[in-house]
Amino acid sequence: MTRKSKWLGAGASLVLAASLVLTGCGSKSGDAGSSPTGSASSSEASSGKEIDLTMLSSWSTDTERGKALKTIVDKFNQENAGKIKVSVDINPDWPSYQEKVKTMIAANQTPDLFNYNFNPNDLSRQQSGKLLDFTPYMDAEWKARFSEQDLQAMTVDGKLTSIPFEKAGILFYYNKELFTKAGIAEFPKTWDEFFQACDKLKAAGITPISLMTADDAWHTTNAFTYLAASIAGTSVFEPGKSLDTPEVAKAAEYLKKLFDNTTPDALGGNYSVSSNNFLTGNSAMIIDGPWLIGSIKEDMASKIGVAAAPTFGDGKVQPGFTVTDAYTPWAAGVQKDKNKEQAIVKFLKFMTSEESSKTFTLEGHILLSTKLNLSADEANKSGPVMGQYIQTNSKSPESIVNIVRTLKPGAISKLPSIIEKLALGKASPEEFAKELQAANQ
Amino acid sequence: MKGFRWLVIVLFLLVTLVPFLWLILASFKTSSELFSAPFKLPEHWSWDNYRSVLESHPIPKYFFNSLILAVSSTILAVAIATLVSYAFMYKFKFKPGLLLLITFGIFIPTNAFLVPYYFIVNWIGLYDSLAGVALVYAGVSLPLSILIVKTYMESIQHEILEASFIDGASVHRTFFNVILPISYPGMTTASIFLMITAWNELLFANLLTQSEGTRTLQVAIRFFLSTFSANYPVAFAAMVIAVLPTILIYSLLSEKIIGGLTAGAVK
Repeated sequence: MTRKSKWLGAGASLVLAASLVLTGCGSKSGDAGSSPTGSASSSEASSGKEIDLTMLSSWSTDTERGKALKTIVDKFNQENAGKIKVSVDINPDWPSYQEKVKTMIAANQTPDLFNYNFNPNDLSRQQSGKLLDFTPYMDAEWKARFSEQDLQAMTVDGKLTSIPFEKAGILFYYNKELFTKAGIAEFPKTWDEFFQACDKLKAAGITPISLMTADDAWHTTNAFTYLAASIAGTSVFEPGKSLDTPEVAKAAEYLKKLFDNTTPDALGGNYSVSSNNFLTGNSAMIIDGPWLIGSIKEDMASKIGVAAAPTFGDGKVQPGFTVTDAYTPWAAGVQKDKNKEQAIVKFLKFMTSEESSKTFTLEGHILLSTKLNLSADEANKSGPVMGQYIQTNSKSPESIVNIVRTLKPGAISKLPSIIEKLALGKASPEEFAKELQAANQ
Repeated sequence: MKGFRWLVIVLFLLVTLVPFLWLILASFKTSSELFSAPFKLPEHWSWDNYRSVLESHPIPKYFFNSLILAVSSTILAVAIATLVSYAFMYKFKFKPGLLLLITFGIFIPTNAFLVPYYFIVNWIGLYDSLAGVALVYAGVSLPLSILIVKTYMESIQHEILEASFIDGASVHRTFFNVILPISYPGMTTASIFLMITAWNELLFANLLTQSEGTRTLQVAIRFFLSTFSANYPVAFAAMVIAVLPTILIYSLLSEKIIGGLTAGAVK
C-alpha cells in the first residue's frame, strides 16, 4: 500500500467511525414514533398491524392537563390494544412548539395529530392543503358534541380542518380576604364601582390588580379586551375592523388608569411574576383562565372568589359576558392510508366524548368547546375555586376572544411594547389606537 | 489609578457575578419566598428544588444527550475547520473568493433556514436523532470555527512549512506532525466556543428532536417554565445544573480562550 492510499484509507476509516459513533448516539429510547408523518406505518396499517399515531403536544405531565391527557391516551390505547397506538411527544415550550408545527407543515411532514392556537388572521396552516378535512367524518353523533358556532369558526374555505377543543373563559379572580380588609363587600358590577374598589384597596395599602407586559402581556390584554368590549361590544376586534377608533382609544385610557393600580414589576414582568403576585397575596385581583387554579395553594383556595367582568351598564355588552382564550383545536395531517385516517378520527371522537371531556374538565381543569353536562355536585367536587369558575363561566351570555389571539402576527409581537409606551405615558390613548392599527395592517 | 482599576474590577464582578449568585440563591427558595422577598437569603436551605428537578424528569439522561451533542458536533466542526484552515496556508486559485464564501456563513441568520434544515435532516433519516442535530450544529458553526482556527494558523511562521518540506515531509505528514501540534491553542479556542454554543442551543434541539430519548437539557428546562405552570425556583435549580458545565469549561480553559483569540494579533 502506498503512503497516499494509506492516508486515504485512514481518512475514510475516520469518517466511517465518526458517522457510526454519531448514528449510535442517535439511537432513541423508543418512546415515540420516529416518522413525523407516520408514512412508515401506512404499510403496517394495510397489512393489519398496529397503527402508530404520533401526537404532538405541549402539555407536560407535570401539569394537570398533561396528566389528564395521559389518562385519556392510556385508556384509548388499552381499549385499542394491538390495533391503534397513540404516542404523545411533548414539547413543553408552547411558542417553539407552534413554530415547529408550522415548520413541519412547510416541509411537508405534517404531524399525525397536533393542537394549535386558532387565529382568524393567520390561516396559513388551514390553507396549506396539508391538514385532514374532517367534514366527511362529521356524522350527527359527533356533530352533536359541538356547538354550531364553534364548528363554523373552525371551517375555513368549506373544510373542517380542525376539531374544536379548548376555549377557556377568562374570568376575574379576587382575594376575598383583601377585599374585606379594604371594606369591599362584593365584586364590583360596573367599571365605575371597579375603579372605586381599586381606590379603596390602595387606601388600605393593597395593590389592586396584577398586570404584566412581557411576552404576550397576557393578563394586561385580558383587561384591555374586557374594557374594549365593555365600551364597543363583543365585535370590537372582528377581522377587517379598524382598531384606530375612539372606542379603542377610550379602552386604552382606562387601561392606563389600570396601570396606576398595579404592582411596580408589572412593566417588564411576565406571566409568572404577575400570577405569583396574586397567588402570594401581593395583589387583590387577576384576570386569567382556569389553568391558574392549579397553582392556587390549598390554604389560599378558600380566600379566592371568581367573578364575571364589570360592564358600563349601558347595554353594549350583557352582564356576565366573558373574554375567552383562542380556540385551541386539534388538527391532523393528510394521510395516504385510509386506515390511518380512520384511526385518527376514532381517537379524536374518543377524546371529545362526554366521558373524556369530563376527565379533561374535572381532572385537567380545561374548559372545552365540547358539550358537557356537569351536576353542581360534580362541579363542586373539582375544588372550591374550580366550582365557582365553572358556574360563573357557564352563565356567560356572550364572549369575545382576547385581542392578542386575533391580531395579525406582526401586531401580536408589537402589542406588548405599545402597551408599555401607553403605561409609561410615552403614547396617548389615541396614539396607542393608531399604532395598534398600523401594526395590524 | 490603582483605586480606579479596583473600582472597575468590582463593578465588573458585580455585573457578572450577582445575577449568577442570585440564581443560585433563588434555586433554594420556595415560590412564595422568591416573590415576596426576591433579594433575601432563603429562610431554610433545602435541596427540595434540586430533588424535584431530578425526580420529575430523567435529567441525567438529558445531561448526557447534551454532552454527546456538544462533544460530537465540536469534534466534527473543529476537525473540518482544521483541515480547511491548513489548506488555506497554501496558495491556490480563487483562494480569497473561496474564503469569503466560507466565512460568509457567519452572517446568515440560521432562523431563515429552519424549513430546509428540518427537511434535509428528515430526508436523510436523522430526524429525532442526536446525529441529525450534531450534523446541523457542526454545519452551522463551521464558518466561525474556520475563522478562529485559520486566524491562529496564519500566525504560524511560514518558514516552518518550508523547513518541513526540505526535510522531506509530505503535505499530509507536515499537517499531522508539524502544523497540528502547534495549532492546538486555536483548535481549543474554537472547541470551547462551539461546545458552549452547542450546550446552550435550544432552537434546533427543539425542532429536530421529538422523543424523550433525544431530548437535551435546554429543552427539558422548559418543562419547569411551561405556559400552564411555571415553578421558578425549580426551573432555577434546573438552570444551575445546566449552566455549571459551561462555567467549569470556561474557568478551566479561560487562558486558552484568551490566548487563542489574541493569537496572530501581533506578528
